[in-house]
Amino acid sequence: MEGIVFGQYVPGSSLLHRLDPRTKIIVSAILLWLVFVVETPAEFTAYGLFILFLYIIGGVAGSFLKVMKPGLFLIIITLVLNMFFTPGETMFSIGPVPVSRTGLENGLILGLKIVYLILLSSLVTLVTSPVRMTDGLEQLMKPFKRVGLPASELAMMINIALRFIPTFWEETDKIIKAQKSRGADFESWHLQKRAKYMTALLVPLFVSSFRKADELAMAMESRGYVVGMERTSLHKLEFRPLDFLVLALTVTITGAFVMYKYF
Amino acid sequence: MSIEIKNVSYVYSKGTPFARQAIKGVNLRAARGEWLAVMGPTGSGKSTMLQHLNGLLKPDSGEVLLDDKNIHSSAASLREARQKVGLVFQYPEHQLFGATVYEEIAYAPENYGCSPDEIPELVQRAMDTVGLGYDRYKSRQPYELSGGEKRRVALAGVLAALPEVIVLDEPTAGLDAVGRQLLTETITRLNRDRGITVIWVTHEITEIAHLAERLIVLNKGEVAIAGKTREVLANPMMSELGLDIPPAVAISRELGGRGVPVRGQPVTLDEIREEIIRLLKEKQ
Ligand SMILES: Nc1ncnc2c1ncn2[C@@H]1O[C@H](COP(=O)(O)OP(=O)(O)O)[C@@H](O)[C@H]1O
Ligand SMILES: [Mg+2]
Repeated sequence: MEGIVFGQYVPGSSLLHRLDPRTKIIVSAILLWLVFVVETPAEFTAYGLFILFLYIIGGVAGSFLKVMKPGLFLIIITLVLNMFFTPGETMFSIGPVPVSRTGLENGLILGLKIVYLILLSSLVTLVTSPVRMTDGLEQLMKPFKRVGLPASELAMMINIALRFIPTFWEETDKIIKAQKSRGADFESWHLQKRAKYMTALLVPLFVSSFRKADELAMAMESRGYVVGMERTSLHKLEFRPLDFLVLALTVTITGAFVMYKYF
Repeated sequence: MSIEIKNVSYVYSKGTPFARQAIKGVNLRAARGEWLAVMGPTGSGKSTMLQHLNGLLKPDSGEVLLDDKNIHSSAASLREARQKVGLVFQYPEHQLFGATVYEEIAYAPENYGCSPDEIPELVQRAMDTVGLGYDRYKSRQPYELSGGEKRRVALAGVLAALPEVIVLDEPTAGLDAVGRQLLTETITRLNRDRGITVIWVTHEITEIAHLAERLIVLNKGEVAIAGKTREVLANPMMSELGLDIPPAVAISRELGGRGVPVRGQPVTLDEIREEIIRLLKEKQ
């Protein structure tokens, strides 16, 4: 349970940390879309190196492999599924099962795309504090308030959810340790026993989550939180020249790439 | 059973940007039947140290010995440590999950493989020890009990595995005066009558200053002071670390500072009263 939780914020002062969260959200949306545009091996390599480069300037290069780990599992699954179940020119056979060239290629491409998506979306959460992230989301969703989207409430919900992920892990860790102290063996292979151990974990976890939610609601109300009220924020978000530069660069480069590719 | 921590260090989240040294080079030894108190500011590593005692955490360096045997030497010795060292977490009532008090308390003996016909007696004895009437409470739901009762159920849940060392992490936090008294009495009985070794982490040393033979003070992950409880409490470093001392110790210190030497290092109000009476008589 210890260690980095998938995409947990790593405090820092890198270039990426200092960007406005709205810039990061918009740019990452464009970059995520780009993942579906790249095709050739050269493009894939270049894009992968670019993502690695982003991790390095964000000062979170150490998290690159950690974030990728769950992705590798997905790659293998997609690779295996595609290898065997796509018809086409047979490249080689594993035993009696023919492996097609297109299958192998498709599997590899799809797997890489998934990994790129994971890497890019994790990068945003790695270099943006949850509070600034929600402020950014709220600002971006504001125009949709007119059509009845509860922007501030949604942002608050996301903020609370993000805020409680570490608390939730801590609580899980504590309960696991307490039940282990009473002889529970969470690694047991005995299915029936394992089910019982899970009960001993999940019941207290639910109870504590409800208790925490209750306490939080009480604390928010006693500090004057009212749903639907207009609120100002302590730290105003501000686009700086750097943000404009990054946005302009992203749009220009992406635009040029798409033009070159399709026209 | 005797338990010993030798030169133990532990780092959380090793190899990540969140790495944090929680304890370093900590030593501690409790002989069979001894009562040891542990104090220290928040974040000084008390809970981390406790989790080494029954092998929940494995030391990065150093060793944990139960009756002079390293608990990490084999899977069996780790299992023995889990059972023989009963760890009562902070707010242990948060770990309750059973549909009935009986089921809750029977959990540990079941996990440790006690035979089904032994279990009712183990549960009954554990409930007696913590002062919960067996017939009255066994079928009740843990969640409908009061805070103090829940905590006693949780304690019974640990005691039912018949530990020989009992380790408690701030066990009186959040209890009312009656609950505190009851808990201290329960542990005192276990310690006196059954020779169970007690390691008790507390912020309120006044409750157990007269019960614990020795006191260990942690600060920033290291042992800052260790020794006989009365001597450690008299150490001026206690206040520097922002730790509470019993009123009797504060009064003795004050009297000493005004040139009235107090004898016998009193830690309870009764002791300091006797001492003041003696001093007054002496003066007359
Ligand atoms: N599960 C954990 N993961 C990471 N760091 C932890 C964890 N538990 C405790 N720590 C850190 O280790 C240090 C010691 O904590 P702890 O042993 O809980 O101290 P105490 O019980 O004396 O308050 C603290 O700095 C705390 O932040
Ligand atoms: Mg603690």
